[in-house]
Amino acid sequence: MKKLILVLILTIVTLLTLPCSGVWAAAPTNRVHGMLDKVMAIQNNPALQGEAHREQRREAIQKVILDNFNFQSMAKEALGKQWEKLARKQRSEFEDVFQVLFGDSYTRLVLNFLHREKISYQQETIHGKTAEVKTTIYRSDEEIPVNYRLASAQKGWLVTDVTIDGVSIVENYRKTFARVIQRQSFQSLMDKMRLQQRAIKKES
Amino acid sequence: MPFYQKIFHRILMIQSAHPWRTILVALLLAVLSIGYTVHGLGFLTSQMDLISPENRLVKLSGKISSIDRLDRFVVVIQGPKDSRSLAFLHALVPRLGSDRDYFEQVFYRVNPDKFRPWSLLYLDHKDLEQFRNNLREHRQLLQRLNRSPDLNTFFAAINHEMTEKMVGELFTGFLEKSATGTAKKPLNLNFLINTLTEMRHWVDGNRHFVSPWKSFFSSGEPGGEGEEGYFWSDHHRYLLLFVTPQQTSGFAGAADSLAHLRSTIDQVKSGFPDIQVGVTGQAALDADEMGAALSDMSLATGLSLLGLTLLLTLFWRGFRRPLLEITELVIALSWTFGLTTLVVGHLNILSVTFAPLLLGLGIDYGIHWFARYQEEEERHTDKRETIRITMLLLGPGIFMAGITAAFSFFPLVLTGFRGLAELGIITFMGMLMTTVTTICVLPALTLVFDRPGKRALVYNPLASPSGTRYLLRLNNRRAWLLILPLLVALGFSAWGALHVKFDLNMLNLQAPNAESVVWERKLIQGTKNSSLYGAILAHSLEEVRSETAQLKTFPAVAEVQSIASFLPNNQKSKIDFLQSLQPLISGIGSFAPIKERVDIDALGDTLGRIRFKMAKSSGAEWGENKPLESQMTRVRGLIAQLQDRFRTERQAQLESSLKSFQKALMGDLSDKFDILRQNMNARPMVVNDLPGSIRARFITHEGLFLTRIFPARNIWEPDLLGKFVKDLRSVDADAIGDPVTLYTFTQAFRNAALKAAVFAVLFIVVLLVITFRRMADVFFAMVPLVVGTILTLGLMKLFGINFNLANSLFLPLVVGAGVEYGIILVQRWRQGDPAEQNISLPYSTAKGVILAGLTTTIGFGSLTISQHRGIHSLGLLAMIGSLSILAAAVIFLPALMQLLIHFPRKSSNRPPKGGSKG
Repeated sequence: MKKLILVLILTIVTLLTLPCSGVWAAAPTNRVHGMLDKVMAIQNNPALQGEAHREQRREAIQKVILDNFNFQSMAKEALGKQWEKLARKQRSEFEDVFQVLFGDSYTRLVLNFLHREKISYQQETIHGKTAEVKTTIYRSDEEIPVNYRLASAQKGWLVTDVTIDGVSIVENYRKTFARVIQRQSFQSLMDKMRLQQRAIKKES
Repeated sequence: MPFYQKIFHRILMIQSAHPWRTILVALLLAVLSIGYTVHGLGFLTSQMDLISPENRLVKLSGKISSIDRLDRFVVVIQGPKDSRSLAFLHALVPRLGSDRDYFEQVFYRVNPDKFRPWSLLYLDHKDLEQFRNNLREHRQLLQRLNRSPDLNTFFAAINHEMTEKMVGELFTGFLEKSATGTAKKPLNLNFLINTLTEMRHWVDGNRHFVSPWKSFFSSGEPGGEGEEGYFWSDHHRYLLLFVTPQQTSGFAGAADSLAHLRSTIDQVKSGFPDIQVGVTGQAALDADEMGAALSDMSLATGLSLLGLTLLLTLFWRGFRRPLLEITELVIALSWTFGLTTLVVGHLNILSVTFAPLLLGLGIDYGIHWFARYQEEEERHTDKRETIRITMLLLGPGIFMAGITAAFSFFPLVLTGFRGLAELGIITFMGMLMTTVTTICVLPALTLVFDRPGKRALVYNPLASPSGTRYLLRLNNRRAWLLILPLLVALGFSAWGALHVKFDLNMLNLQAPNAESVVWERKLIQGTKNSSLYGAILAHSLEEVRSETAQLKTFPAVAEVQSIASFLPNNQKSKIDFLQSLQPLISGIGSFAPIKERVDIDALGDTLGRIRFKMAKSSGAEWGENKPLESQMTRVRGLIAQLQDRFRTERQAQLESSLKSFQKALMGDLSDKFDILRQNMNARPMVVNDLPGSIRARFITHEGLFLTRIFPARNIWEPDLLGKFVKDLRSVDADAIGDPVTLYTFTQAFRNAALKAAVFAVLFIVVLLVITFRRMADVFFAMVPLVVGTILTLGLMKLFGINFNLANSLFLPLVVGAGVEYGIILVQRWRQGDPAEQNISLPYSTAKGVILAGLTTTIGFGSLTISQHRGIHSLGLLAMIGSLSILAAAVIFLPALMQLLIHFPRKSSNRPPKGGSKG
């Protein structure tokens, strides 16, 4: 009897803690699949069609993106070596700005790019705490590969990079940020990013 | 008998004694003259030939004779596409090049290979900077291709670049905005379009490689392999090639070469129905002009003879006398040709008109002869006696009129203008010959062949009791009635004469449908190039450069070509710049061997991904980098076509086509890099590095440097020509070339024509004073000419005819005829009854003058059939002039004389019947 109660308690505890441990969290493909399904549902929602509802769609998609991307990881990787030179406050500020900018850009990409395309999912590959999910987007006779790199975090698998037809978004950030920092300064980069952030806020 | 009558009597006696001998000798001389002419007479076609060889311009032009003789014919090719024009050229060139009998050289291209080590130095700094930017921007692509030069790598790299741009614009575009915040230029897909287009051509079986790399490295359009180095006009409208005929003497050789060139072109053209082609250039313009003139003059001479025969037949109411006159005239013409060959040796574009002119002018004496003969026939029954009386009464008049007419052309010699001087000599000789044959041959012909003529149809009820019939019998009232309207007409004409203009445009004189004229006009209208150019000689390259800089400041100058044009400018700084590009290509060594196969599936896949990005819905992702919608559409279309071919073509054939294209494309890229490396290490280019064909065209045998200056405007318009020549001479007073020749010629000719007219009139006046020795008679003899000329000028204004370089000759031509009528009429009046108070115009004299006037009109009028508009206008104006002078002679002069009748006259000079008197 005592044994039975112990097993029951252990089982209940295990069940309660499993979501937090990530073991029972969505697999990388599921994460990507789920994100893209939500996005497609928003884009194809009859109630949200047309320019009049673009802003609503934008907000909804942005929320999906914010839930599925690891901005801290992305910001760090995008800044490269410069990240090590920043103080905590600077890093935090950079992350915040980066999140807004990336969120806005990616939302625009989705808004303009994904409509009724078909998406196929290839085999995912997992290396420890990182994974890669390969997809292909089909549009009439053409297709392009879009690959998602994910990392395992507290909230589960989150996207840390998207490679569109062989071009990594994070890599693009890294090269461009490095160029600006080299030619001007990190401060100059931040100023431009804040300016862009304000512009985005003004538009929305 | 006066002394001069004795001479004529003696001449007649010889003819009477040996009429057949006289005729046969005359005919023999005619045949010999024609034979001599056929073998010996040349033709000068150049305007320079019309100017005195001592002229400074002519001497200066001799300095570039070694260059000037080159490229005398310009072949102009117009095709629907550049490739078609080039295909035609490549079909034509071997045919011309192998025809050494006719063509010494065919210059159609400057081989660009000779310029390889310096080809990049021809780019201006802006283009070089663009080149550097492109190298920098596409460095990764080039490095990838360097390692793996194949189509799969190529398109994969292109796709990667495009994706990077798209992603970059979307996520970090805000960081790349220019400092001024101005919008970026759209992404240029020209290179991709050119490459896809070329690939499609190869897949379709067209293996002519048009390199797209030019549009990759610079903003230039794709250049076909070997599309460089050809002579294109602006915007590639026309393709030019230059032919140097074998050196021949005279017009016949040049015309022969031109005809052969056109014939060869026609043969090649039969395989190119979509090509239009023509031959122009100064040599072709000259040859066409002379050819047209000769052909027209032969026809005009024939028409003139026919017209004269018909007219005379109508007047004489029979064929016999017209035929006798025509025979005498043809003999005179033949002798004139012979003398021309002997004395002058050639005809030029002015003197070629002498034959129909001479027919019209020379027939007059025969007309007067038979008119008077017919009158005397009514008084005498014996033919010999009739001939004798006619000779004694009319001979001196004809002789004087003939000599006067001959010498009226002589002042042309005094103009110093060679073309006019020769015309003057030839017509002088011609008029002398017609006078000689009228006096020395026509009587013999009349004696042998003539039969009594019919009475004239026109019966004048005012015939006097003496039996003389009159056309006109005046009194003062009738004289006023005749003269008043004419005076009014004269007044209007004098006013109109002040408004007649002078058109100095020589191209307007030529036959409008002559091939060389048509294509010269096309070149002028469609491009900024005429086939004519001015020329300046310099002693050094520095002088050339300095003069070129000066010439380029003139709006009248379109282009300046010299040996310096073929050398790059600012070479040192450009070489330094190119050397600074070394780091950009440091990772690009010799290209790896080109792969033997093409992965068609992968290629199709990559093209599909590129096409994906070209979709309309993808447009927004490009942001400011978005390519032009038209370019995106084009790329989509080309890729769709290629994908379709990939699906439908036989694999083996497809692979073969793609492998060949891959080899051409990558081989060309490798070659471009070889050129780049060569240029980086180049030394500055010098004159001796240029091909011999260029040096031969810009450096004389004496080592002088030639600069060719092409006009910006239509220099056939005299004002623009004058401005252009003035600009040239402001840089070098010794400027030469076709425009300068044209300008000098037109100015000199116009002045010479005016001078000739003035000299002719003065000469005639002096001659008349010496002959008549009475100013009143001189005055009366001049009236038909003066009044007729004023009336002619008035009619010119009425009909909108302007003077030009050809018809301005009409005045010296009609002076002789104009005065001749006056002389005949005054002479006849002096032979009349001294007691007669009123002026009467005997029918025989009037008929003679009217017939003479009409025949002169026919002679000149035959020129109007000419396609050469200059000769046509000369004929037209001279025709109007002769009719005006005729009207002045038979109407105005008698009326004027009636009103001024109180001048004393000498007693009658009529000889006694049967022998001389005292």
